[in-house]
Amino acid sequence: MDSFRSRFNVFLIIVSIIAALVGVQLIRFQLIQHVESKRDVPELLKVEPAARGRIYDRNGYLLSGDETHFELAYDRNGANYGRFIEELAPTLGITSSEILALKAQPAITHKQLIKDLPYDQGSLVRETDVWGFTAHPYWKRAYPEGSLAAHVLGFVNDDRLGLYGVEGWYNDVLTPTRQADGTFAPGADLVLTIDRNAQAITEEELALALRDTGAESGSIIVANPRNGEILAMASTPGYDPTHYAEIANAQEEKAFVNPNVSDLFEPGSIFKVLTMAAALDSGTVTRDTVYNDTASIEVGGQVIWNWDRGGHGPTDMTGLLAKSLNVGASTLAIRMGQQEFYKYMRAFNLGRPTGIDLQHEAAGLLITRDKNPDRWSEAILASNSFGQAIATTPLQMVASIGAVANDGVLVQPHLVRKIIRGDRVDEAKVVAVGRPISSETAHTLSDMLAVAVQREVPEALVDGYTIAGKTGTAQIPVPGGYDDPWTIATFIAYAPAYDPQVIVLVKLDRPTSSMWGSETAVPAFQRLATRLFPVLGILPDSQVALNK
Amino acid sequence: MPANSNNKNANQRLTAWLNQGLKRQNWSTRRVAQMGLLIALGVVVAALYLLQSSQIVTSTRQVQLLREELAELQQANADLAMNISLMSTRAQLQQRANELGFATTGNLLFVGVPHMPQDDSPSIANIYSPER
Repeated sequence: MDSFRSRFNVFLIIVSIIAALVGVQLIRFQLIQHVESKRDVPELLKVEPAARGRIYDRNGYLLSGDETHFELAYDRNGANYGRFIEELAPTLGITSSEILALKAQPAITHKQLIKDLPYDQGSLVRETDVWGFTAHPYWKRAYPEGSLAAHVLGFVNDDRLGLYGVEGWYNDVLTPTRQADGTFAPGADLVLTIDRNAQAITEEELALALRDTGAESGSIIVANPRNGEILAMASTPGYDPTHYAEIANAQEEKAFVNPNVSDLFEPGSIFKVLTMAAALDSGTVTRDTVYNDTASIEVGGQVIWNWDRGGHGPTDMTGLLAKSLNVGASTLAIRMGQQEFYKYMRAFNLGRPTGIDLQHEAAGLLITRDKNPDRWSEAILASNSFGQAIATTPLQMVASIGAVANDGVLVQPHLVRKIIRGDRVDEAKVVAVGRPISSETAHTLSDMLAVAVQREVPEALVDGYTIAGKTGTAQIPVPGGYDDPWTIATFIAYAPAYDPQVIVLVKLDRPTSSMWGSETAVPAFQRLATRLFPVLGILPDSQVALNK
Repeated sequence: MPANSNNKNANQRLTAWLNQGLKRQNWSTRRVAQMGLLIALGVVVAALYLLQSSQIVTSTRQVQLLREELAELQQANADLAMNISLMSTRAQLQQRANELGFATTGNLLFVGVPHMPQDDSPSIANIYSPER
């Protein structure tokens, strides 16, 4: 009996050990590895990651989005050549001899037959399901509007990486995200501030302006000064983002860079708007202040001339702006003093990036006595007053002069209105950078600019609208001086002058028909504005007054 | 002694050992119940394990199929969205407008309308500008 008990106990111990092992394994499989296996499911399934986010214009028109393409792959193992030749080859443009040649080469076990099949053909291959010939789907970026707003959009390369433009700036937002369960959520969609129609009109008018003036390149920015939304942003030469690889292969990557935010230029006389804003706001002058305009003035050993080399005698501040007098602008800067002048220029955010949501924004160059005592001189102060010896981007000029249009409040320009991720919508907020000038100064200056346009450049006027603006003709700096006789012709304006809803900068580089902004950029603006204002729904002044 | 006879003796000894130890007449009722319970427990554990394993495999396959279907639907959806976009590009709309006989606008004449109601058309002034 004892023998039986001891042996039975041994048996029980063995069974218990086995049961315990099974139990441990159960716990391991059911609790620990179960969680791990759930995490590994996507890798096992090889599910194609979700699509990259789409980019829409402000009215919901698609500007950039993913479409499905297929790669046709060949696998020798069990390949049904006959059925492929009979059912698919003709549709796919593959000859039977190519397939038979493939069949005759046992060394080729795998091969990519077609790299880029459109969706309908890829679906056909998938549905036909011929053994040995498989269509693998992949996402490819497409731009339905072609080259429209290419500098704003940027592009997506073969590695699915967004480069330049909003594709680059918002790459992380647009890229599908891996979720906690291992699956991929589609990238967030972007709604831009760009208006597709306004953008197209702007690009058309820029192309016309280049044709008419012989300018080698140019830029136009259309923005809402109230909230910093960019409505259109065009520059030439442009490119088609679908064919980015050809441009990159040709070593012409500079074409990808957006000149509106990356290229620096001396703004020239449009800068006088800021000089006048500072002079009025600091109390240095009033709009009725009169100074005696001579043809030239010597400052810090440098003689500064008016553009026409003529003296205009007693001139008020509106006359200074209307006739764009360098002597007058220099006089204002000297009266203000460098400290006051640069205080305002810093308040207008010059010498710093605007912070727009685009890649490769340049900061500009503002030489001040405080930061660059070795390089600064009074002559630089005088030159700065009419936009020389200073470098800005076109966008910086739109932003800073936009502050004058926006009752003195400087707002940050931006290109994205909404980020949509599933049901969640994040709307862009208006970012007020500061108030460089008072509301009163802004209104006074707007009125002066409107009068100046009526008086000196009536060609800029658009029927029904009051327009505040300033022309500019800037020399082009090169090492050792200026690249005479070439100029950069500009015109910046906002409308309606007394309730600004849009600000436009036209910039033409090296025009040949005339060197002056008033004869090149102004007509381009007028044509553009005439088409643009109705499209943007900007009411004429008469209707605004009636509504009030 | 040959190896085969050694193995045979060992097997016989093991069989004898088990037969003696497991002689039914030596088992008490309690012991039989304990054994039965133990075996039943083992069967339940094994059944549960198999059940869960098969459920996991089935669910995984279902998830796989659903994900493949979802991926295909997403691909088809992307293709449809792109087709719609291509049909409503500016170039397409321009062509369609020309076919329908629309012409480019000439000079616009604005007529002031007192107390004109705000319309729903896109307007920076009444839709997009922030409150001031």
